Amino acid sequence: MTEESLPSEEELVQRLKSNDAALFERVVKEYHSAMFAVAYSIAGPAIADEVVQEAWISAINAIHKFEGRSALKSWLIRITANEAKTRLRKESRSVSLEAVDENWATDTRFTEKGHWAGGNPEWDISSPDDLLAADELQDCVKKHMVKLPDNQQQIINLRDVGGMDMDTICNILEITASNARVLLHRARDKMQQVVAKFQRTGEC
Amino acid sequence: MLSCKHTIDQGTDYLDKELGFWRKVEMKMHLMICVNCRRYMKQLKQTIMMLSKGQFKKPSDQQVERLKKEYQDVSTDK
Repeated sequence: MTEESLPSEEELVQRLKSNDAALFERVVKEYHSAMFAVAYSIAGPAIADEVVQEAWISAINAIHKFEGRSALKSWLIRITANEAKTRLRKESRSVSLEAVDENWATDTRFTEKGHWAGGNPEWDISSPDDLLAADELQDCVKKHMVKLPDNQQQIINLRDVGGMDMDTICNILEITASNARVLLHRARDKMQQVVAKFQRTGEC
Repeated sequence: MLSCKHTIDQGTDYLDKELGFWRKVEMKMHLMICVNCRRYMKQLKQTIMMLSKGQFKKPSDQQVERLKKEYQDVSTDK
């Protein structure tokens, strides 16, 4: 993680506008991963790399016009999401909440009355840094992220990995705020379960 | 009284301050008495933090070099 070592937003943007190639390299290394996650979830694995490449080129060409109204990362994520959308084949993107709710009634974590069936143990590994340092766990998280339904994957990548605000996300994905929140929670809940299972059993 | 299942189902709305007044009160009361749901909310936050800091796919050295060259070329043109 190098986020701490990047300069403040204002200085960052100023220096990027004045041809600081060393700093640009650090920015690429810092934000590429989140941009890739967003591209992957919207445009699919086959062209995700290409989409990110195109997004960087657009950003490079537009950086002198960037006014800092959002954080640089959000700006990069938005460019990536828009690029991904234009590359996506046109298809029906309606969000089915029925599919989302289908497993709710049969969630085995809970009893019929909605109480925790076997409790919810504390995690042995709990700080975000320790969670990130556990390689096997991270592999497991990645594996399950890409298994999420498309719309959940898109929203968790835009919101939690990419750090975008919900209004912008709803505009990009063309969904309502309440649908977005349901989908986001399902995705987060699934990832919590992945981490919880790994901590409990050591298995992915 | 909210069930545990309904409580965790509102986890994201609670964290994002999207719950109405009474729903929030109900949720807080449940969390006060239920250690399992309190843990869940802590774990949900930890999961979100982990995702925000995670490096899911680092760029290759070639990709970084190519982009750096692109950046330098564009900067030189201006």
